[in-house]
Amino acid sequence: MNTGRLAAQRGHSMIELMIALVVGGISIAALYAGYAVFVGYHGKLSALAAADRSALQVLDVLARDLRAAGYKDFSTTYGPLAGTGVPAVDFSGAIGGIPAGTCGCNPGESCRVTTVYDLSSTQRIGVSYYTRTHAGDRATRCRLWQRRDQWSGSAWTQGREDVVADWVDNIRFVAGDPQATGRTYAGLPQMVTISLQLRAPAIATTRGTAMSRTYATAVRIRNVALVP
Amino acid sequence: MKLAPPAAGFTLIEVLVSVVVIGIGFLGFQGFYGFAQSSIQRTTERIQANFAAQEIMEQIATDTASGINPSAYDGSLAQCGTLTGKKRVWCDRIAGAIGTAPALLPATETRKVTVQTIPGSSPQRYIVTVTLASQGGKNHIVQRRIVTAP
Repeated sequence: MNTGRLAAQRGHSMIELMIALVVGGISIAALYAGYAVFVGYHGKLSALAAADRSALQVLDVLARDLRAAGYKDFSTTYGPLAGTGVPAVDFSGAIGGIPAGTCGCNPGESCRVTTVYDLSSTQRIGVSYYTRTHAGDRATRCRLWQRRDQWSGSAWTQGREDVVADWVDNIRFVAGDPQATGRTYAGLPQMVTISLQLRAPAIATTRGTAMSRTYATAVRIRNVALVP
Repeated sequence: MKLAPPAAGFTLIEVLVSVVVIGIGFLGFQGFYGFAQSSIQRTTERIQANFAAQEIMEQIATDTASGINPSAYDGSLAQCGTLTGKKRVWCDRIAGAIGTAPALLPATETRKVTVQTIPGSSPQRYIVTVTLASQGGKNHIVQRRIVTAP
């Protein structure tokens, strides 16, 4: 029986193992660094896209209510809008006691607006937009709220509140082109310019690069403009 | 009995080469994100341009209904320095939102308001066209509307 000689098995030396460990560690670290960079990009891009999308929706909602301001149903039970202490558009909070904005307001400018119009012959509503500070779990920030109040013929019944936009840095409603005296809606604006500054939230802010964008447009209040 | 020779591992050079190859792969990802970023940038410009055009339209519609002839607004919005009044305000606002007018095309073509009178209409109607090109010239939006005199 030939036993022969077993070839000596050579293992790895300690040094070799250590070098392999270091090289492996470096490549994993490089992969992770690359991954982290892409996560950062992704967060930034998603946040910007979210701000854009949000701005589009918010300005659309605001524009719809402002356009309808002053609309009076032909067979309404509440009589005319004008001259009854219920203006079609208001920035002072007089309608339904809308609170003054607690955030996102420029001094001397309006960050709240109320529009009044008829939904039907028996439904006259006042839709208001205003800001309020929100102490969220991630950060204290400013939110834009909507409230739909109902006119009973003599008083406003407070309706439901909804958040319309989050992470609002600044909002203002600028009244323009006041209607001439002698017309139905004398003194009320025929145009309202909306300027909305939204912050892109998410990961971007935690990385120290808070981005915010300003979106502005104007809405013509047709009923104020056209009613003789 | 002979044992098989020990299996050959990776050499340091091989590992380094693979790291470089993976790095090149990451560069490809980088290019993808660059593309995504420019897409979002273009979308934002488009949104801003549409908002600006809407603002101009609403103002012209309001003024026309108040008895102002909108033909006064006909003309280029490319060179803000040469404009006055509302056109200056619009021009500055557009420049702030999407940058100054591109120099690629004739300046009068890139940003302008065109007002055409509809002949024989009573009350008088006008076709208003707002054309806005972004700074890089990649976005080009056109809004058109009919406005009516009182």
